[in-house]
Amino acid sequence: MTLGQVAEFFQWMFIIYFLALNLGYIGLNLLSIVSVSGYMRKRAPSFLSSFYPGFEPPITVIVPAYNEMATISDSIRSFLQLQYSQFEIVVVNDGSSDDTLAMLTREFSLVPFPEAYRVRVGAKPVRGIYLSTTHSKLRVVDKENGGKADSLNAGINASRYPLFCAVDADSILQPDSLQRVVQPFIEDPRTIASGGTIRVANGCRVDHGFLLSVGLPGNLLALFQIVEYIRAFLFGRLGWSPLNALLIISGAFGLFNKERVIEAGGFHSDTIGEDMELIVRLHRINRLKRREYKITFVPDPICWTEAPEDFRTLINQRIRWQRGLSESLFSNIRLLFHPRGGAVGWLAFPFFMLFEWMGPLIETSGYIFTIVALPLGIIEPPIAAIFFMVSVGFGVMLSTTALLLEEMSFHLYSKPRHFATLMLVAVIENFGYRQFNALCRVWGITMFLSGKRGGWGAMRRTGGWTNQKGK
Amino acid sequence: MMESVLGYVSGSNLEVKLAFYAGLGALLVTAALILIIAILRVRLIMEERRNDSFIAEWRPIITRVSAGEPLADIFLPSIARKDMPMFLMLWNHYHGFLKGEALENLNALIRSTGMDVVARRWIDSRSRAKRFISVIALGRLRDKTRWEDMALLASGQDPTLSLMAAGSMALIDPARSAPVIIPLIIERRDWPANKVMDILSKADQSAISGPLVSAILNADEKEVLRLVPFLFLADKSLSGPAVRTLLERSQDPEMISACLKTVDDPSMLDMARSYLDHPVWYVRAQAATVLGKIGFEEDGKRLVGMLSDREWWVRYRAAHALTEMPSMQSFDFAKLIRESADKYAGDIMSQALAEKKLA
Repeated sequence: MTLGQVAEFFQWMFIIYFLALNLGYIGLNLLSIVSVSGYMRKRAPSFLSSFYPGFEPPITVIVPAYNEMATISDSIRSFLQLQYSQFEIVVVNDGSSDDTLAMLTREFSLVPFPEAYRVRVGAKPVRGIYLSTTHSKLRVVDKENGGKADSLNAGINASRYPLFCAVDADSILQPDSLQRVVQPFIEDPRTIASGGTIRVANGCRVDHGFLLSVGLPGNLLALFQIVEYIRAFLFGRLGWSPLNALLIISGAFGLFNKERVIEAGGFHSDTIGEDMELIVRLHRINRLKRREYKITFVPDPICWTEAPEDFRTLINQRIRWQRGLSESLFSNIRLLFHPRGGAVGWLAFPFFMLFEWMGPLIETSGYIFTIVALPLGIIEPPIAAIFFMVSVGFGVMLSTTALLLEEMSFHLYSKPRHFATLMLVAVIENFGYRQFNALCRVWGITMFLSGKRGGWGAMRRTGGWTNQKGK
Repeated sequence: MMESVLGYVSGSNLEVKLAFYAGLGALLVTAALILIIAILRVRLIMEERRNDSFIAEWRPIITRVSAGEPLADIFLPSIARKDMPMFLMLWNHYHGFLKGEALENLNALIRSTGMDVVARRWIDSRSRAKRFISVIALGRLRDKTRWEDMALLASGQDPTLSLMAAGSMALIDPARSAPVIIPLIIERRDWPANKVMDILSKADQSAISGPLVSAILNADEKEVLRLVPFLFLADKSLSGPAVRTLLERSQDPEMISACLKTVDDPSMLDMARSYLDHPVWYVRAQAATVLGKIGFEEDGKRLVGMLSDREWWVRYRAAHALTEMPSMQSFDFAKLIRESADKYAGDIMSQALAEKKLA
């Protein structure tokens, strides 16, 4: 085989992969457009809220906390103000080495509580359970360090209600977040899990855990992530939901049927992406047992989270996400093309394997091939330029579709300059940020294949979302 | 430049041509999407501005009218066609939280502006939003003129709109609505239970009790389980015997548990006691709760025995039932905990007592 033939082979391989990938995303986009239009039509108009209260099922909000001393009090205070008929908050202090527990004790007047804690899913030993004397909805479980998944399991053991909502300690919720995310459980009793859209809080005005107004940050990395989040949630997830093939509900905010999660064995503490792994496992177990179930995505923006603004934290986060994706897919590989796999086993799982898991490897090898082939004269510079520009063109088109979905639904970024900025970001992210992201994910795959384990994946926070001013 | 690119592409291989034209297609689609977004945004901004100025003008008027100022003393601006939905939404909003005489004043306002006529007209509008507005407004006005259309919407395909219509019918004429709504509650599985509860709790109990109880007793066995929780909204003199009948004819643990949840009548104590050693744990837990509500001192001993049940929830419910029974108020729980041979029984009793103390 000559060098020219090798080049031609790779060109065809990249083109076919690239077209399949983009056709897949375009298909998801179309599904999302139909889905979001239907949802917005069906959604009870906001003016009905006072006329349309509910007798919703009670919910336990589980908040795992590890060294969250700086923000935990504001977060819990905002969670306590959620508008919902009946809920409790269980904070799980995962053996923090800072003063998280002391801070909680001081702020919420905690007293030791003689609870008959029962172990239904495995978790590290509990050192004590505390109850707030000022907020009867609040309990704190103090346990030995075991990671986020282990803390969620301890929270499940301590929970009293049939539904539990897993929430990150730094998440910013909206007053109606629980009301929105519980709707699929009310409308369809087959629902076992539901999640909503997570948005980036950087640049927004937040005061003591409450989102006051939406804005854009000055930091370019955070801006890139805003476009990524809109893309990931508004078509990445919304597209899969009508097929009941949603493979991930974000760990930052997700609502689950407790008994079904316990039956599935709770969260696996030996995985790094415990949120996705649980969802894929729930699909696998329920599909293979031929049980009726639904895992639903609610497009409403119900949770805001701080995106990393420095490279080191971002790199760690992306590596962790790719490792989590790898673990979730490979530990449930039986679902792939299983005769009872349905839309999950035959569509979503192969899509994630081919494009989300292998995508970074193929994209990066494409860049490497181009860099090597250009000086050797195997491919001509104009051809390389055409391929690169096509890739940029499709990237921008997909981001623009996500922005259209945003405009059709919640139009949170209300100022014209917000839209102009996001459009500009959707273009420039293709020149460097996208490649950087692919490299981080390749690193994540390498670490997964080398079998390294992870812990909490500490995130460096600017703490800026408290009283932060938007642009 | 473009010509030289096109010239280069036309002389290239198939894969280069394919890539180039795919990219060109993506570019055109992107441009079209940007245009659509811009149009949507401009429309939104114009609509928001119009609504803001309408609200700024009408909010003070509605406030003055609801406070009792005579309509004759207030200048009422004419309402443009485009502003009619906003007026009715504003009116519905105020009507939702005001009480007493203010509601009568608001009703006078809607009539003097002629918007009640618009609300009646909109009940069969093609716009879903207008039908919503109409259904709510007519319900709040207790307007019977479009009753048949309202009934049609209540049995329509749209679950939210049908529920709203059923709710409005219950407000307009509770007695007349019962024979329409109750069969729908039985039939419609797409009506979430919490929303049905909401409608029934707002309806007149005397009007709904008979038809509701009768419908539940005569419903298909598969549907009864879903309907039993609604029994607590019916008059006790009717719901009690109905629960007894259901318990006598069913062996299904879920049905027994659902029925026990509604029991608070001492005449059913013997029946509740008979479920204390049921093989299914949630039936035992529910029976323990019933004993906490209607049991006597001798039931205390039964509940103490249940503190050693193998199931945590049964122990928990039994412990709580013990703390809630009026006849056990003088009981020495501390001694029970100290002397209990079963650690689990002691632990759960300690927890229940601590919870009661903090409640």
